This record gives sequence, structure tokens and C-alpha cells, in this order.
Amino acid sequence: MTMLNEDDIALAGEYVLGLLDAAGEGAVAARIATDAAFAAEVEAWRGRMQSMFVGEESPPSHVWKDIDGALPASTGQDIGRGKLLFWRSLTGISVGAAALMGILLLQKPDAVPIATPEAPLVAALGSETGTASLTASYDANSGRMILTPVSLDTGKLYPELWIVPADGKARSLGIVESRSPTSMIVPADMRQYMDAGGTLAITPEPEGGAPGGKATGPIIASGKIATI
Amino acid sequence: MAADSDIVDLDSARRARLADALVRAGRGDRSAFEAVYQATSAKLFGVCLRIFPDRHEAEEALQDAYLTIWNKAASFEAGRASPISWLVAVTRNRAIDRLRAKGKAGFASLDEAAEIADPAPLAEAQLLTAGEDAVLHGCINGLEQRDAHFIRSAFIGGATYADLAQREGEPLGTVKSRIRRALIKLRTCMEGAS
Repeated sequence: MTMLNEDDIALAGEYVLGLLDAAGEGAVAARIATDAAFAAEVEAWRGRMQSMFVGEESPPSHVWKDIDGALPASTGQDIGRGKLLFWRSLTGISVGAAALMGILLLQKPDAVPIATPEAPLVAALGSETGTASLTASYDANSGRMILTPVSLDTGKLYPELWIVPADGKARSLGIVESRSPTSMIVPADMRQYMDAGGTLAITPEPEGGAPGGKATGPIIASGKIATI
Repeated sequence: MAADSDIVDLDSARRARLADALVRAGRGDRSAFEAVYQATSAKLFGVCLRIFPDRHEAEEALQDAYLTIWNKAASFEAGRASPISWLVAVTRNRAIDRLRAKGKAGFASLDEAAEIADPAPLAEAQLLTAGEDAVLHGCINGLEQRDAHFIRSAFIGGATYADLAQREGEPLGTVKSRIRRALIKLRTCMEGAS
């Protein structure tokens, strides 16, 4: 674990207090995904600030009825349950969910996962506060990446995909589809960055992509690349 | 905080039950989600009321927060985060998003924010967190008044550095380094007290 200095500690506090602009928040979100010591400091700040909210009051009963009514149809004993669990598991940011998706995308349904010369890489992209989530799988042998949006809405803007390797510099992988899977061949000069430990991230950008290759929007979803 | 071991044990048992319910809600278990609501809605409504003094807006924010919690529960990692601070963070962030979307982020009700009303000790939960509250408020009040005000404006009012600098008519960098120093001081105070 890396030792945090005062700048890191203040940054974690700024993030929890919501002082940063969108670009700053995005950078911190990406760091949380890749730096356990920093993530722990963010959690510590949440604990500290939580007691700012001292008052408690039971909400009126219609609030629960409204929430209950807005949830997806009941998942009692019907066959929908398995499907719901499947989709919900994909929206998690856990490596487990990513691994599941990778296996589903890369293996035939009845195939036993076997070791290949280059293990497939997967990532589940999400955010703690937003609603955007996607999954990614990448096969280093062919350079093919498949991005599958589970929930992705960028309004009038377009979702741009970035790879952020260990050096922390974001490199564009282009605009992706927001409602259907995108299959792309990662350009040869970008493949060196497609490695476990790197982070994939999405920002909303104007048509044609971020001007000058610099992200202008906040990171709305990010996830660490992992080996299955 | 460990002055009374019975209270600590009770607290950790509640926390473990809540974490378990949240994990099950993340797998699509609606009755577990309802248990999460029953256990936390008073606390989270308190969060929403603090950010939206208007009750109707607070109720809408609470509803929005729980739908977000339902959608995000699968990303809760019981080993890494306390369930209640995760729930409070999701609720606070959603409420602040709503505040900003309504163009109301900033400084309303900050006088009220500076003077926290004494919470009536109605619930056991309040007794459990009473010590922490005293620590945080003691440490914030130990800061310069202006810094304390900035910190509350941000966390409860949704003010960013840019908002604060504009309001104060000061360069962004000045406001930023001032608040960063205050944050370090606040942390040192709280770590020393716990």
C-alpha cells in the first residue's frame, strides 16, 4: 500500500465534500478504482462527515409505497428472477461480475473456460453515484473489444471511451454506442495500454469526440481492467 | 468510543445485519431491500431534510435516493465500506445532484446549517452516534468560522470551489488552499479525538 501524503488526504476530503469540478471528480473516481489506500481514506472521510447529518425523522408512509411501486415487477417465483439477477450482477463493479460477463461473451455457452495464450481481459464500468454502467471484454490475440452498455445515457452528447493506464494519462478509444453493443478493433498503438490494472472510463463528449483528444466531460463510468 | 462495550456490540450487530440486507438487496431480494428501508429511512430522511428544508422536496429526494440504492446495491462492498456511510453518501450525492439540477446549489439555509439544532434523543441510533456528532462538531467549530462555513456550504449546500470563490470574490486558488488546510486540520482533530 502506498503511503498517503497531506495532498492525498485533502484530495479525498475535497472529493467527499463535493468541492471539485466534474473533471476533478472524474480523476478522483478513477483513482479510487485503482488505489486501495486512497479509497480507504475516502471511506474514512465519509465516516467523518456522516455525522454532519444528526437529525432523524420517519418519512410518511406513502414514500415507501411510491418506491415499491417504482421498482421493477416483483421477482417472486417467476422465471424473471434469474434474468434479473443476471442483469443486476452485470451492473456491479465487482471483478466477479466482470468475469461473468467476459465468460459469457467470449466462450460458447457450453464451453469450459480454458487457458488461452493471452487470457481475455474484462472490465465492468460503473460509478458510485451515477446510473451509467457498461461491461467490456478484450481479447489481446485479436485486439477486439466489445463494449456492452447496461445503462448509458449521455443526453445530446456522445459517450467516449478512454483507456487510463498506470501513468494516469487518458487516451481516447473513440465514441461508443449508448444503446447497443460496440465491437471495435483497438488500434495497434493503443494495445500496449490494454492491460490488467489499467482503467477504462466513459465521458460525455460533443459529436465527433473530445476536441484535441482531451476529455471535456466528467467521467460518468469507470472500471479497472482485470484478467479472468 | 469504546467506553461502553454493550453499546459497541449492539452497534456492530446492527451494522452486520444492515450490510447483509444490503448485499441481498444487491442480488435482487426485495424483502431485504425493504428491511434496508425500514432500518435506515429515518436516518436518510434526516439527510434529505437537511439538504432540502422543503418537506415535499425532501420526500422526492428520499424516494430518488432509495431507487438509486436499489440500482447500486450490487456495487456495495461489505468488506470495504460501512453500510450506513455508503447509504448516506449515495443519498447525499443524489440529493446534491437534485439541488444542483434545480439551480439551488450553494448557500441557502446556511445560517441554519451553522447552528445544528439539538437532535431530540428519540431513537437508540441517535444515542449511538451522539459521541461522533460531538467530535465532528467540536472539530468543525474549532476551525476558523469562515472555514467552518465553507465546509458546511459544500457538504450540505452543494457548493463547489468555483461557487465559493465566486461568492467570496476571491481567486479560486486562494479559496482552495485555504479549505485544503482546514480539511487537514479537521482530520487531525478528529483522528486525535477518536
